[in-house]
Amino acid sequence: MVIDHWDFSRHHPKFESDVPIGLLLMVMMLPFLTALVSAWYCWRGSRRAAMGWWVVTTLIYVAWCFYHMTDPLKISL
Amino acid sequence: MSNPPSNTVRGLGRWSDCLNALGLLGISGILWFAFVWQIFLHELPCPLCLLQRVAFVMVGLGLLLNVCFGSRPAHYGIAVVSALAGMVSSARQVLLHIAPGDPGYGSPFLGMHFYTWALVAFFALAVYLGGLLMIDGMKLREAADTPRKAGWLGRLAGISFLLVLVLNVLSTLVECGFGACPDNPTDYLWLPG
Repeated sequence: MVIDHWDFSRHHPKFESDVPIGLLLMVMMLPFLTALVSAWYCWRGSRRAAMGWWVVTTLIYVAWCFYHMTDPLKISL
Repeated sequence: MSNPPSNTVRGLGRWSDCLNALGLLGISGILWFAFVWQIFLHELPCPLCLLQRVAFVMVGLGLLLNVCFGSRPAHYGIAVVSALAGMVSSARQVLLHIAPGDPGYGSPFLGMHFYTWALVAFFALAVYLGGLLMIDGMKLREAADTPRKAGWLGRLAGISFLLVLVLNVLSTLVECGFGACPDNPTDYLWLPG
């Protein structure tokens, strides 16, 4: 297991104390998995479940955006 | 002269099912192309690249709902919000590499990097969805909670989408394991060097 990939404090001092839900969200394949569950429910005819899992996917996506997009841009002008 | 039945969709609206399936097929095509590029050129997607793939999948979910249940405002809303989310992550990556002399991430395709193409594609998808919303006669159709049998184009698009989604789950798992991906991945975590 590569522990340093789970280090929230790499860019974010605010994430210095790891929390279980945060650790869970940092699994990169998780949004693909929840999207697959959503697509499967949709294909099987469960509209509400499909839309619910899309919401879960979106929440994970937003968490990933915070993780990967809130460090300073390295633009030299 | 007799009036057409009230539940008949006229004009361009009668093509909306076909256009939804074509949109889903296009998104599947984008995901297939990126996946084939990843495998044959051994160019691993970075975390932001993976986020853009997730956003394409999320747009595809909105279109898949339209294909499977008939078009509804909520389904279009899902697709449009997802396209906007994809524009955020792709624009962020464009900005990361905007400085003069920056080689960018990965090999360019037709003169632009994949994240730039992704930004163009998300914008085009948003425009496409807006156009579909304008012509879609969804008020005249049956209730949305009832699943329906998609046509051959819808089934082809749906199966292609599901298949490439499964492959993305597996490849991301092999690349990153049960954790976050490194910023600049060079090897699959779960494949021997």
